[in-house]
Amino acid sequence: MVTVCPKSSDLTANQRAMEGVRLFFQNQFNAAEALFFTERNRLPAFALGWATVMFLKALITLDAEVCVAVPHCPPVGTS
Amino acid sequence: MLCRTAHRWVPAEVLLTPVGTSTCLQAIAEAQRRLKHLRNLAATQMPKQGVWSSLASMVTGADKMSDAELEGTLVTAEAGLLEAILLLSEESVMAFVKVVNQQVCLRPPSTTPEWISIQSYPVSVCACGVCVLHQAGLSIRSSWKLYEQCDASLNNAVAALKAERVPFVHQVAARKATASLPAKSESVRAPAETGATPAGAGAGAGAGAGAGAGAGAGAGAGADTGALASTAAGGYYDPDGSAPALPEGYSGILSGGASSDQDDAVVSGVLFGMGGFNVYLSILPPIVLKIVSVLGFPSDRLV
Repeated sequence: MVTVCPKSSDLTANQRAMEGVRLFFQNQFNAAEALFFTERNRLPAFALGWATVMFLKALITLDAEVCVAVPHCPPVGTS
Repeated sequence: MLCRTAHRWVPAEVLLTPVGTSTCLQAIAEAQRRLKHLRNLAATQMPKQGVWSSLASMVTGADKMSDAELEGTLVTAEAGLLEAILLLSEESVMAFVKVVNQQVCLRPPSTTPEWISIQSYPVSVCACGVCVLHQAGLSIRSSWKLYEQCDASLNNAVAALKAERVPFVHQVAARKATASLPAKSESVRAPAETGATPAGAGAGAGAGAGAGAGAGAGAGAGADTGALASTAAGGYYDPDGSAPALPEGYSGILSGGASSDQDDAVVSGVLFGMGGFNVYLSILPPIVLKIVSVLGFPSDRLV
């Protein structure tokens, strides 16, 4: 469990998070991710941006060609 | 190369193609790891769910949350929704490879679950499709409940929006219009009183901002200036005049309200989550929509 320790600079946390969003939409993926990485353990907005960036990367890179089908489990109720 | 499973060794070629294509699964695993971290962080800000607090909220009827609790609840709901989207996307695209965080297989104990670790990431691959759908369903349900809690704490802003059938896109367009459009030939629906007083109309943002919407449409240049100012205060931009008028005395989210920036961000987050939820519900077949509507989820596509 990660504890939250508010600081006086929290007043500008939303602005700094919005800066990360701006970087992301300006195609500066790594810069946005690095910005969100800095305070991901303290501020939920940064952790959300950090996770959302990788979520979008996962969706973008999702490719059915990459994965070969593994054999299915037997249907439920059969062994 | 072999991957260690809970019960046996499985060739890695079954999961990954040979050269440099494991980044797909790595990104998924990393996204799930980060979403789990996000959940843990937001859990520290969630409202306390004790017996006494539950009884107190039942007696007093107060379902208000503090700003921190509201943010934690919203982030938790967001994380759950993203996890569910990730799971459902895998389900639809990969069709066979399923990644789940929770290592519980729903199959009978007599059968042997197949868990496969992906390199060094703490997630596993289950070959059982029931696990994925179960996990995604639980995640979506809990996220929806959290979004409803946030909505209740925000005076049912989303529910009011749905009831009035006012498209949220007009609010977004109104903000863009205030910054860029000269609005010489376009009509801006604005409250009558704010449209009549161009200078300083923005200072009058509040409960009465939406009253009489549509009365200032199609006026001259001076009226356009007033309309734009009142748009910043709470009117909404309507280039083709097809949007319905705001009801009399409306003071909800579309009127600009009396909310702060943080409230605005939270309301936007709730709207995004509920909108995304409805988008993914709309992908489902109609028969599934009927089933989920019986279970308590809205299957209405109008919001």
